[in-house]
Amino acid sequence: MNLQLQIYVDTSGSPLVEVPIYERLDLFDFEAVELTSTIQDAQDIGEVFTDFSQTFKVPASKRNNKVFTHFYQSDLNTGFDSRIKQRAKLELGGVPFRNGFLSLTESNVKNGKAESYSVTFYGAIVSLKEIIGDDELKSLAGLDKFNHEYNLDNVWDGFRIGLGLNASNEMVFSGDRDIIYPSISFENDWYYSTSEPVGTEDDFRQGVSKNLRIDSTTLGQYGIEFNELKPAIKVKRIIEAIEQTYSTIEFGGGFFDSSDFGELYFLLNKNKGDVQNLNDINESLVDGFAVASDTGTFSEMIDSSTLVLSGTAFRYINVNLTVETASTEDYVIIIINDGNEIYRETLNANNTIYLSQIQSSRNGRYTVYVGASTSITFTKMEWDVYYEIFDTNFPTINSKTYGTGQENFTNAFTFNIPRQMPKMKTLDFLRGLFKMFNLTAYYENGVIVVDTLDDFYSGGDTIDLTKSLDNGEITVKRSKLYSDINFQFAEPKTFGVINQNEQNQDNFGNLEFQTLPDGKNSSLAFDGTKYEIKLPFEKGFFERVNDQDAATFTLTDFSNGWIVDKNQETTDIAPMLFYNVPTIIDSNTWKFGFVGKSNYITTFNRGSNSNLGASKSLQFGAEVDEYTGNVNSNSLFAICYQNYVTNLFSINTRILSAEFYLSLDVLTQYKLNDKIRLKGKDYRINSIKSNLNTGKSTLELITSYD
Amino acid sequence: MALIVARSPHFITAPTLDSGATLTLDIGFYDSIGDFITLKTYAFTINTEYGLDISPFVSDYFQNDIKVLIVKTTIDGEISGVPVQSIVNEYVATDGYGYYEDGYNYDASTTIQDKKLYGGCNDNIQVYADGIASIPLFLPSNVNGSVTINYKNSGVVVDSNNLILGGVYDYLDAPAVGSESIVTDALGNQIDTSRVSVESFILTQTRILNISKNVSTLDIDSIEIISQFTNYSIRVDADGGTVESLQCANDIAGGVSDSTTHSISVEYICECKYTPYKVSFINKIGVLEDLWFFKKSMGSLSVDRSEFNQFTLDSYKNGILSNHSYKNFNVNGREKLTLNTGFVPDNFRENFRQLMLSESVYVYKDSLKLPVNVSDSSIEYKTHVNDKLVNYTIEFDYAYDKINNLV
Repeated sequence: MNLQLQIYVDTSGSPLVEVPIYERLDLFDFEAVELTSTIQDAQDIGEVFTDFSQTFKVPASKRNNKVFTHFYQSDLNTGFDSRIKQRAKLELGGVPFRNGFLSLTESNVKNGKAESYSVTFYGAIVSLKEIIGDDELKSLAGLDKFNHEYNLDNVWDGFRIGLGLNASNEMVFSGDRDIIYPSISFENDWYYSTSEPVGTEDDFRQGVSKNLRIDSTTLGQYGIEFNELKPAIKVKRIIEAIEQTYSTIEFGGGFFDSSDFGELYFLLNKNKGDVQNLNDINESLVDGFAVASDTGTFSEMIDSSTLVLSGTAFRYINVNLTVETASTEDYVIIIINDGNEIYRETLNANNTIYLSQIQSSRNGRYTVYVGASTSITFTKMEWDVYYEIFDTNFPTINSKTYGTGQENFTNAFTFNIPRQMPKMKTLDFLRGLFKMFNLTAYYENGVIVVDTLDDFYSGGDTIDLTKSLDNGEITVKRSKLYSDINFQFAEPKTFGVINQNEQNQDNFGNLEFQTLPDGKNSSLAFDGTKYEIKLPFEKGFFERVNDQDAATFTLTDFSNGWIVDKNQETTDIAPMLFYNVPTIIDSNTWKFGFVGKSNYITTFNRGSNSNLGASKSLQFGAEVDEYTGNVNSNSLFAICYQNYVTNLFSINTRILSAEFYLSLDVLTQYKLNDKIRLKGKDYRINSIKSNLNTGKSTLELITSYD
Repeated sequence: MALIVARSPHFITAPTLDSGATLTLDIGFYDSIGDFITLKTYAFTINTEYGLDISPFVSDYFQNDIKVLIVKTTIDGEISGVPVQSIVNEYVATDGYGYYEDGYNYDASTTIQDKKLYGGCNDNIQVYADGIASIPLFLPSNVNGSVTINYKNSGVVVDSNNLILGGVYDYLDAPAVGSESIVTDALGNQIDTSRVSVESFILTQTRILNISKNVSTLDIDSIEIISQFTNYSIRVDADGGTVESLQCANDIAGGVSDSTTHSISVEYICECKYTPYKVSFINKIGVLEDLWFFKKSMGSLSVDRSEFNQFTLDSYKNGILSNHSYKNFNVNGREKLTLNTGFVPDNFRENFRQLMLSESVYVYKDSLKLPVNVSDSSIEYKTHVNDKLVNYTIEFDYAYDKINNLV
């Protein structure tokens, strides 16, 4: 039988609406709908988020006219919003085939009558790019909750163990280590000397060069000062924030939940040098709103601070923030919309702020910050949301109020996580992670599953398609070859890496994979060009501190990073990832001090390129673990790339292209990690291009390496 | 109340209003208790110079269970900046169409009333001698009155049906339909004509009625339709008002419009050799109308298939020679039906014009009403002068695959 393709499109109006309203489209009987599915194209191994998109026409039938509300008629004030990619799904014979998004691009009108609509169906992964767009990390929702007062106690706690959320969502000393203060200096030069007097400090560049050693009589007087440290956030929390921000994104699979990944941190280093309060006055998040939601206004206070408006933007005829206080002191109200500051005004006494006077249309996430030069008590803060159901002459307007109780502003420097995020697009961040760990993403059961390529392939089944193969014509070609594949971090900016490279004539952390073992004449031996996989992340360089004055080279238990340029001046760097290794210092032997704390440092969060146990490394090639001195061979290449890349260069590797007639069962059940068995040989799927009307499919298969 | 034939443009205009005037379009129908059921509401900014063609929006809502729609338009706007009262109108709409010659915003309701509500396209009908005479009626306006259908032989009434119409919208009241007659609505649902109580049928779908009568034993040669409406209701309707179903109003206004008739000649066709086929199609005013094909019919099947070169080495090496190296798959087919009318009068050209232009055609076969599409893309109109005896041959495609593959 011919396949029966069904296309459904969500007519709820917004992909953000939780429950889609799917309507089926009529299709032309002659329009072939073909989709190409691929997971990691051997032709372009650095490209991530590969999936399909296909443009085709559907008739301007009565059913489709209703769905697309006569798109060609621009006088209509309501109806299908062609500006938005709407959720869509494909079924074959009633069996789910693909989920994704559909955009309406044009309509063809002949002799005054609509004839067809052109639509493009995007796979769910392609749409990841569209959903996230150019949003930056600072706009992620839910990171506010990790804000905390930047003071001695919190930094000390974050340095020796970590900070995390308690049951009341307050940031406290915690072994969860959501936020840590790693042993990284951004200005001062730290060293350890038993012979120099404790507290020795010499002017050095803009800062000082200081001996971290103290003794029992100088506890708390010398050593690391809290304002020399900057925090880092667990990368897993950023992933969760991405999921919270974009309701249609939910990452599954084991990678992001693995314990190794839980050790990965992102340095919150927005500016060079020490931490800066980014504004003249102290500001703090208003987080006393009661969590509630309202279907009539499509609004929700998703946590104690974040108001989400998910209806149609122009229907929010007004959204007002009312602030009431008996204080006569000036205060500043800051409103953040999707990470962008849209309002900052110095106010006094009671005020109502009308968003309609600030934005022409309103939706997304809103948070409020208060700033002042003194502590202030607010008797009330209140969001009032007004949503218009129909924009006819007699519109129905629904309203909802979200309020706080008494809200106290304390005049203290709050480390604001979103605002202290390094400038980086969320998509670039994800892309960097995917390239770093050779991750692959695919859509399954409503969830974007993320796995390493090796794990992904190990999860597939074997399908014998020998009987579905059209023996008529088969093309066999070699895989695309590269003379070199360069795995690189961002251009190094820090003294440690630059110095290391100069001394060793090396590229610390990077790897140049050459196709001959001796690296000679590869371009002659192998056809092909160079290929670069370049990460947007700075390579961290960490150094175990030695006792400078010991008679023999003696390493202490302490290690640190130093973010200065090659002249040892403060410097801006690319965003940086590192593993955190909680480390113990034997204070009987090594007496490191922390100013303000009458204790020796006995534990600290050590930034490292190797994780705890050295089972993973953040170097592309094998490098010496700076703390243990042992070579860590569990490099990114060895763990994540080696199997795949070496297979591409195998003498037996072929890419085979042939036509198959796939049954409904195969088409709806196959996964891109399945092995395809042909005449007794196994292949991996490089791509499948399927005609969804006939099942005729062109498969590009690559010889299997496992 | 005007009739919109939604396959042709129907413009709503507001030429006197300032730009920015809005049009609210409500599409729906009246249910059995007279409530308006809204299927869709659209809001437009109306082009005050050329107006807005609402037909495409209306047309979407004709479906299997809706053949007649009620369309309400509300125009709001200003004149020189001063808001004016909303302009509200109500229309009946069908999936019919107008010809170019019919002009701008063609309204067929007057023509239909002139034909005493007869909804067919030809005043000559052919009836299979063993078959049923079907008279389609269409009630475009909200009128009170009655329809009498007289079945006549040589000028003598041999049987009759009487339908009483009235109410706010179309309703049948205390019907007195003659024997062996079946009254169906636009959906083909039989209306219970045994009711004698005063009960309103104000369903929009009863604006289209079909009176079917077995005339095989009556030997009739014509059918006469007499529609009578109260002066009161006609006047109100002509003024664009809403007719209230008040007996006292009728009593006060009194009188009937006229008692002229519309006659349809009936020709019995006996066919002994071939199996006649009845074809029904939605005609120009949106009414289902019958057309008989009495003569030679031919069926055919065309098949689509794909073929591929199948791997059979595994069975061949074991001595099995029966496996296909070239394997067919995705085999399915569509049937065609070619029908001949037999001899028809010259004026049947209008029937075939409307058949060719119809988007909804059915053929009755083995007691099943099956969907077909006319596959001929042209037709030559025939006349006795040019062609002596006029026969039309029409080719139909069955509108489905022979192997059931609906999901």
